[in-house]
Amino acid sequence: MEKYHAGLFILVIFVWTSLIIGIYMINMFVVPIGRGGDKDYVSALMFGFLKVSLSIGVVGIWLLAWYKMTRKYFEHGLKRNRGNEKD
Amino acid sequence: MSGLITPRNIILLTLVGSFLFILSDLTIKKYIPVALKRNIVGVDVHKLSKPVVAEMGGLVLIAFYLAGLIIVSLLLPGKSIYPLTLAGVIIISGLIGLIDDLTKLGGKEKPLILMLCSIPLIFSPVLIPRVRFPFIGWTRLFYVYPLSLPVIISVGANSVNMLDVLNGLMPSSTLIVLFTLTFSGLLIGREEVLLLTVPLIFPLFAYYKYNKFPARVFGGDTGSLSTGAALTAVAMITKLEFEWVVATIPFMMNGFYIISSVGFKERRKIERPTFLTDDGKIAASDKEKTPITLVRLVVGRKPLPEVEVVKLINCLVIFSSILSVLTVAFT
Repeated sequence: MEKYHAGLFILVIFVWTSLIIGIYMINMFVVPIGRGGDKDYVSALMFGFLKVSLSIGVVGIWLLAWYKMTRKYFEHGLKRNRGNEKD
Repeated sequence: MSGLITPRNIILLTLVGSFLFILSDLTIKKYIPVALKRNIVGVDVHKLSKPVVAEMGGLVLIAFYLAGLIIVSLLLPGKSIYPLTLAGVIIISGLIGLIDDLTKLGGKEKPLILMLCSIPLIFSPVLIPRVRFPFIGWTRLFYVYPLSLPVIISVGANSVNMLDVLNGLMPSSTLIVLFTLTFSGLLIGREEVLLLTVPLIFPLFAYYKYNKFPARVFGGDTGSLSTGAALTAVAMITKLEFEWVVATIPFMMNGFYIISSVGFKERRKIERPTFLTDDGKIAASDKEKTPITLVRLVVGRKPLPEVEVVKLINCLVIFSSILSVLTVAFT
């Protein structure tokens, strides 16, 4: 295994953390609203919808970053590979 | 705890497992010359000599999965609904795999047809529409769960199918996930997991013996789709959905990369993401239109022998499996 391959493990951790963070955010914001409280049903629903969108947005940005990182990582590896072939 | 782990049951399951391993090993050994003689063959494209290898070994795999599940359901009649539900999923996914092997289903049709595998799960009394999440705990998903089930099972089956590209990769990586699910299940007291994983693990071990480098038999879509669907169904029946998602991150990454770079195209119609070097190593193609697959990513830096690529991907699956077991701690 080389240094380059460590990047693959980082990509796996990235997905794992995005899952954990996403669920943590849902637990923090959405679940308490779903359980009810002193808010009326409509405003609780609207508020909940906003928080779900926020959670999905954050996880989405995180996953997009992961995808960009993968592409950069791969293109960098490929460039180095071509460099080696020229040597 | 369901009181399933008793000395009697452990002996029974060990005997069933050993019986399945020996018989599936013998059957695959006998199947190889028969398949070669009848021209049921495929070409191993990752070898310079391009050897011809027996195809559709997945049929033997399915036969022994089903035999194991039926034996377990007869030995433990009180719990028979668990293995029988899984058997239903394997029969449907196996049939779809067989149709795919014989007629080559399109890239869009296959995921849609695979949704049919969820029928036994939807109608089975063992399936509870609740999912356990880290931090949150148990959630009620009475409407969302049955609706999303066909999609989840199709994604699970396809993700294993998409990674079945190198010698020994499919059986070894799915074995790692099956062991992880068994361990996680036992850790949280879901002993039923043993009834489902024992009939899958032992035939898969026998198949690995013949599919590992240099492969003597290929499972075809019959083998990979049924194994993928079975793996997903085990997670759903035993309520280990989240652990399954984490353990299969490398499979999901591979599927996501392919779909995001080339869409729902049938893999045979996609330009090859890798090529063989003069010394027989696998190298990444630098063409723009080729998909970024996990194998292409692994060999992106420099060409590697097939065995090394399989080892590296399995290391990734072991790593995600460790994360999966860690996730159990959060739930």
